[in-house]
Formats: sequence, C-alpha cells, structure tokens
Amino acid sequence: MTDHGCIKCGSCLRACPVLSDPNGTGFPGPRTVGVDVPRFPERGRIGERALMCTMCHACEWACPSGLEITGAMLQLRAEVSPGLQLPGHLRMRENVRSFGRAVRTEFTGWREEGNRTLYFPGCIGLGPLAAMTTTASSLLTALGIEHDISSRAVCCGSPLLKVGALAEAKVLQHRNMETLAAYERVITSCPGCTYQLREVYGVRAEHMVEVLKAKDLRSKVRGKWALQLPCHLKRGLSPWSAEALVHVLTGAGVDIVRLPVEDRCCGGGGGMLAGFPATARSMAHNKADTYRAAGVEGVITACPFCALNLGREGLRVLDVSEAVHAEKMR
Amino acid sequence: MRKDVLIIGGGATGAGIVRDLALRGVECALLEMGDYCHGASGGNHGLLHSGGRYVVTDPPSAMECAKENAILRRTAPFCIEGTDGLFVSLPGDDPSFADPFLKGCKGSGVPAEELTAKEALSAEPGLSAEALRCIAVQDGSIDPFALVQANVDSAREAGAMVRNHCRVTDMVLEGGMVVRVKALDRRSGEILTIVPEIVINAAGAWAPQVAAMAGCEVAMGLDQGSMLVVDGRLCGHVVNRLRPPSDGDITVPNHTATVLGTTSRPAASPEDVAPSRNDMELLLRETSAMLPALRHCRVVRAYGGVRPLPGRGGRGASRTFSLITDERAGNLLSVVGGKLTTYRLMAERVSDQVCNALGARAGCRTRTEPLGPPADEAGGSVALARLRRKYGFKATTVSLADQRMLCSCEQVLRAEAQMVLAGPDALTLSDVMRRTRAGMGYCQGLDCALSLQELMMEAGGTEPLASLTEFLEERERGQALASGDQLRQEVLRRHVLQGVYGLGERE
Ligand SMILES: Cc1cc2nc3c(=O)[nH]c(=O)nc-3n(C[C@H](O)[C@H](O)[C@H](O)COP(=O)(O)OP(=O)(O)OC[C@H]3O[C@@H](n4cnc5c(N)ncnc54)[C@H](O)[C@@H]3O)c2cc1C
Ligand code: SF4
Ligand code: SF4
Repeated sequence: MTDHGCIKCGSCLRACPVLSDPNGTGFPGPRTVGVDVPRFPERGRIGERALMCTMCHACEWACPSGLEITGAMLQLRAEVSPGLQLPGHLRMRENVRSFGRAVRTEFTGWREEGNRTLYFPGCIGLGPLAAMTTTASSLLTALGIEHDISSRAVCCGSPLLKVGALAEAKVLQHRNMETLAAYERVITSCPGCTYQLREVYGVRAEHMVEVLKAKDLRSKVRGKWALQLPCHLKRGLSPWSAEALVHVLTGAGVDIVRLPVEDRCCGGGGGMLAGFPATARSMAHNKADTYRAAGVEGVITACPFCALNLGREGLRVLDVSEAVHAEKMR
Repeated sequence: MRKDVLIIGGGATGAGIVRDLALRGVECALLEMGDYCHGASGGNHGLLHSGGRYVVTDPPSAMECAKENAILRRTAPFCIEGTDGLFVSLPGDDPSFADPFLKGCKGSGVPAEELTAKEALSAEPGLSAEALRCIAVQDGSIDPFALVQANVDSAREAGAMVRNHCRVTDMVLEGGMVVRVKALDRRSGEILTIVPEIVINAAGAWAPQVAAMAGCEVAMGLDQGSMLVVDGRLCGHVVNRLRPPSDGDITVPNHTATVLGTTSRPAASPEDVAPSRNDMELLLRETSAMLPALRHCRVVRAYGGVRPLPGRGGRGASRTFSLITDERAGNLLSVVGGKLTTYRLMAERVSDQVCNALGARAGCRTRTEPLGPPADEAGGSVALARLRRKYGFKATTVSLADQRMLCSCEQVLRAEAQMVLAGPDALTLSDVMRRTRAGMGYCQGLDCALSLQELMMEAGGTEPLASLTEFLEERERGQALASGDQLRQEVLRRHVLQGVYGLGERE
C-alpha cells in the first residue's frame, strides 16, 4: 500500500471494536497495521498483537479514503505469521493438519446420498454447534431441499488465511474442490465459509439467509429478540445479506428489537477466538451485557462464530435456522 | 571561556571535526546557530555515495567516496541502509557511457558489476522494462540527522563542548589572529565569549559570511538542489541514471520513504532553498522513467538545500573539498566543499592540520572507532525494532515502561521524545522531529504535533508555543506543491490545526 490515501482522520480507530474494548488496547489498530507499518522495512517485527483483530471490516467501512485496510492487514499477517507462535493458532493449524478441521468434529449425522445440493456447515457447525447443524439440515429438508452433508468436505481455509497460513489454505481448497465437483449447489451457514467459497474458490455458494429469504417461514420463538448481525455477513458478503436476515425473521413473524449495537463485532472472528481468547471473551461479555440490558429473550444471528462466542456469555443465542420453521410443516 | 579549538558550524563537517579532535584529546568546542544539520547536512539527498556518480566527471571525488563509504558502513552501521545501488540507462541515453563508467569505476576503486537485463529486473522488480544497461554498485542510504547526532554525542563523551542554537556573531582580531569569538545563545539569551587558539570555519554555505567576520574572503558558488519525499519504499536499491550527472537522476529509499533528487540552480543565499513546481515536475518525470511506479506515488513533501561548492559552483564543480587559510586571520581555517559521504575524511584532514599547528601528536581514531552499533531489529514492535536504527548507542536509554505511540506515520514512542527532551539538544519541536522522526511522515505532524507539544511542556525549559508555530510553518512550507491525496491530507491538517485550534493562522 504505497500510494495509499490515508489522511489520518482517525475514523478507522474510532470504528474499531477491539480498540474500544478494555481488553483490546494492546492492538496497534487498523491504521498502524493496515496503512502505516507496511511502509517500513522492519514491518516483519510488528509482533503478534497485529493479529488481535476480528476482521470485522468496520474500519474499512468507516474510512473516507476507501482504503482496503483489512486486505492490507491480511497481507501483513501472511508475511509475519510464520514467525509467530500464538498457542491457539498453532493448535488450530495442528487440528487442520491432523483431521482437516479447525476444531474437533462432534457431528455424526453425515448424509452422503448423492444429492445435488451440498450443505456445508463449516468447522464450528460440525464441532461445538453440531446441534444447530442438525436443525438447519432438517429445515432444509422441510423446505424440500434434499442435500448431503459430506464427511469429506474439510475446513474452507478461511481461518488459516486469517492466521497467514496461505499454503495450508491452498491444500484445503484443492481437497474441497474435489468434493464440491460432485454438487450443483452449495449452502453454507457460516458467512466466513460463504466468503471463502465465493471469493477465493470462485464457487457460487449461498448463505442460509439467502436461501431462506424466498421461503414461507414461521417463527419458532416467543418474546422479543435482538439481532446479532454478523460482520462477515454484513460487511464481508454484503449489506443486502444482512438485510436478508432481518427480512427472513420479520417475515416469519419473529418479534425483533433493533438495537444500535446489533452490527458491532462480537469478538469471535478473524482468529481472535483461538489467538486472543481473553479479548474475544471480553468483547462478547460487554456485548452480552448490552443485550441483557435491552431486556430481550436472546439474540438471533447467522454465524456460528457469533453464536459460539456470545453463547458462552450465558445469553440465549439462536442461529436463524433455529428460530424459524417451514410453513408447510404445520 | 578558553578553548584550543572552536568550530563554527554543526553540519556533518563541523560535527565530524569536533569528534575527531576530541578523540585526539584536544580541548574543543562547537557552536551551531540552528540545530545540527540546519544547513546542507539536513537538506540533502541522504545518499551514501559509492562514488559511481563521479567516476567519469570527477574521479578524485569518486575515490574519496568509495573509501569513505566502506569506512562508514563499518563504523556507523546503525544509520546506514546498505541497499546497494544500480546505475541504469534508458532509451535515449548514450548506451556507450557505460563503458567509460565501468572503466572509471575500476580506476577509482569503486566496486561495480554489470548486470544483464534479467538480473537487473530480478534485483529491482520495479525497474523500467526498457532499461538498457545496468551496473550494480555499493550505494546506500544514510540518515544525516542520526549520523551527526552520533558525532556530537561521541565528541561530548570525549570532553568536547557542543552547543546548538548558538550563533557566532562577532570575531575580535588582534595582530592578525582571532582572539575572541562571540556567540548568542538562544536558550539563555546570553552572549558567550570564547577565547580560542584556532578557529575552524565549517559553516558550509555560510562560510563566506563567517570568514567575513574575520575580514577574510572565501570564494564559493552556491547551488540550490531540490528533492521530493515520496511515501513508501518504491525501490529496494538506490537507483541512478547511467548518464553524465544531470537532474532527476537518483532515487534513494530511506526509512518509510523514497527520496527523489536532485536539481541544480544558482542560489541567491544559503537560505534560498525553496523548490519550485518545475523542479517537482522534472523530478517526477525523470525518476519515473527509471521506476514507473513513481507515476502513481504520493509525494509527501518537497525540500531543498544549498550546496557550498568550491569556485563558482554548478553541476560541473568538483565535489572534493579544500582547506583555506588567509593571512589576515592566521588562526582561522575554512573548510569548503565535500560531500556528506566524505565528511569524516574532511574532518580527519582538518584535524591533522590543527594538531600540527597545536603541536599535538595524537593520530586520527575515527577510521575504526565505532559511532554506533549495527541496527539489530530486536523487539516485539516496529517502534522497538527501530530504536537502534535511530539512536545508535543511545537506544538503550529509551524507557520501555510506557510504549504508547506518539507518531503513527513513523511509529515513534512517546518515550523516545521524552528521552530526547531530557537531553541537552532539543529546544524546539523540530529538534525533536529531527531526532525521533515524529512529524516527518505523510500526515506532516497532524497526528503528533499537539502531543509533542504536551510532552515539551511537561519537560519544561523549552519554548513550546513559539516552536510549535515554527514547526507547523516549516511543515507547511513543504506542502506548497501538494496535490492529490497529499493535498486532501493538507486540507484536513490545516482544518484541524488552524481551524479548530487556531494555530499558525496567518492573515
Ligand atoms: C541538494 C543537495 C543534495 C545533496 N546530496 C548529497 C548526497 O546525497 N550525498 C552526499 O554525500 N552529499 C550530498 N550533498 C552534499 C552534502 O549535503 C554537503 O556536502 C554536506 O552536508 C555539507 O556539510 P557541512 O557541514 O559542510 O555544511 P552544512 O551542513 O551546511 O553546515 C554548516 C552549518 O554551519 C552553521 N552556521 C552557519 N553560520 C553560522 C554561524 N554564524 N554560527 C554558528 N553556526 C553557523 C549552519 O547553520 C549550518 O548548520 C548534497 C547537498 C545538497 C545541497
Ligand atoms: S477489521 Fe474490525 S477489529 Fe480489525 S482493525 Fe478493522 S475494525 Fe478493528
Ligand atoms: S479512516 Fe482511512 S483515512 Fe482515516 S485514518 Fe483510518 S485509514 Fe486513514
């Protein structure tokens, strides 16, 4: 980024959820990591705290100069990561090396029936959130979308890109492309996977909310619910995907309370959960407090990372597929 | 105050002399009217010459550069980037110039090696695909502020008195000798009187004025040169045009920037440094022919300097130096000409002559005595990795207890400014900038000026408000030619500093 147009307005710093978290002040910030430091011959010495960012894209949205800050930060991560030793990131890479996924797989309901659609739940959906995957799969079936859940599909590689492991991510892509070749349609629940499949693989993957938005659905929940609009859905895929989530829920009759913090990062993305668990936890904790203060039953989201990170704070967190059911089932 | 030797002028030459003499045990003092590097030593290209530039037109200078280049890389590694250099010719240039060039390199002892087009492109991927011939040499980039400060520190440690912001105003002569020299100390407002055995005039472009105080004349041509600071490193090597020395021949990567230079025109006075729009266009046009990426670069600022050249000056004038004495003031020695690259050699020659006159027998130690450690890039942040690069031996005196950032463009810690403010040399904001680099980056002080001001007020004993205004005006001068993103930056900078804080506002 040498002909960058940064004017030092500080908008990116004010927008960054990590910098404004009491546990995130060690982060050098988007301007330092994405704009200033890449100009230095010593940039390789930036240190592991450069990775203390959730890749929420809030900085990039705020920048009046239209700088691709997150892209530049990722590039720097790729350059410096080989020299860094964050235990959580090493564990995650070790997991991928030994069994192809970022976390241990707890899912058992594989469906390998030769359907033309593949449901791709992602590592978290096959791990700690296996129950969500089962519900989402049932919902797809109820909507008449017969699908496989393939045990051969591995991590999409997005978490590896976030920790700068480019070569390892490429290997996963090759393995997945072989599996994906057998399908005509791919549906995902994780916006990170969706982004990776679309933008990196070049595969036309659909996120669950995009599938659901054209369907007749009914609410499964009672009471008032708030939203957690995932960063990677709204600012990663597109703001329209985030609108689709709102549309699906209101269309199904869920009583939604819109809060100003709903599109603020929960702290779960970009390798933070593994790399800086204390910061991820602190961000989730503060956000959960805001939700609780709003007096809602819980929050509905469309990202396994958000669900996992906020869920640990004792908040009721549902994936969109758990909040609605197909109209014709009744 | 009695001193064996008084040196007037704290550029590279003066600082080199005071260190050399102090290391030989001579009791000496140096007075500088501004900050060190106030003259050409601050307003130059920062190129550690391999000698290549002068092999055809000025072989003695080439020879001096080659020798000194090797010595400085050894003794002052912290403030030098050993980038190496390339000389490239383009269509339209005389391709046969490469032959006398190579021959000249051999004759002057300048290590050089011709590369194939493929080798050249793999060494410097940004090079124009049209490059015809390419010769690799041992150019580097050097930080003159760090170099001069290290000389000052070393001289002090060896017992010399060195003061900046002290302008020599008068000389009193008796019997054809300078017996008293008066100077005005900006810090205290007091007049300082020095009684020297020998006076050395190392006042660069001001040497004629200083000589005139003793009723002597020094013939000198003043020659202005302009440079552009471009954000980011757009080349890995120093890239030179392979042709007879001309304008817009050289790009030097240094710190976070690439510096494009230079130009040449007669200067009306030592202060006539301002670059013109023509200079800027010429520099961009000529250097982007070698490195096409420069067409889309962000020009952060333009600055200039005045070369003190022996005789009448101009591109043709020799870059070697001479020592001038005058019987009207028998103990005044004027040093004229030379390069930043050869400052140590000049200092050695001057010191030899001085020691001769004083009957002192100690030999020169600056050829081997280190000025600083190698930059080692230790530490867990970019700021920490750069401490040695900027402060040499003094890097260890920066307190690491508080690692808050002062300047983000240049990744400067508040503690660095505090270290500098605690020392004897920083009177103004610009003094802190020259030492820490805070304020030198693309935002030109928007991010750091007020925090720096606050630190200066905490440190006390300085002139915060006057120097803030001076600093902002100086940064603003460099923005006179701003365009594109840099102009957007400048608009915001003025909006905040002038509009919001009402600073440096003019009618
Ligand atoms: C445009 C340009 C580009 C250059 N590029 C390079 C390069 O890339 N590489 C290289 O090796 N060389 C380069 N040079 C040459 C190099 O900068 C100079 O040769 C060198 O800096 C001269 O140092 P100096 O100490 O002799 O003079 P100066 O640095 O000018 O020092 C003279 C000092 O004397 C002080 N002074 C004057 N009058 C008084 C007084 N009355 N009392 C107290 N102090 C006084 C001044 O304030 C000044 O600081 C360049 C020069 C210019 C102008
Ligand atoms: S992507 Fe989000 S967390 Fe990362 S620097 Fe930008 S605003 Fe901060
Ligand atoms: S928002 Fe953009 S222009 Fe403003 S400081 Fe951040 S990177 Fe620079």
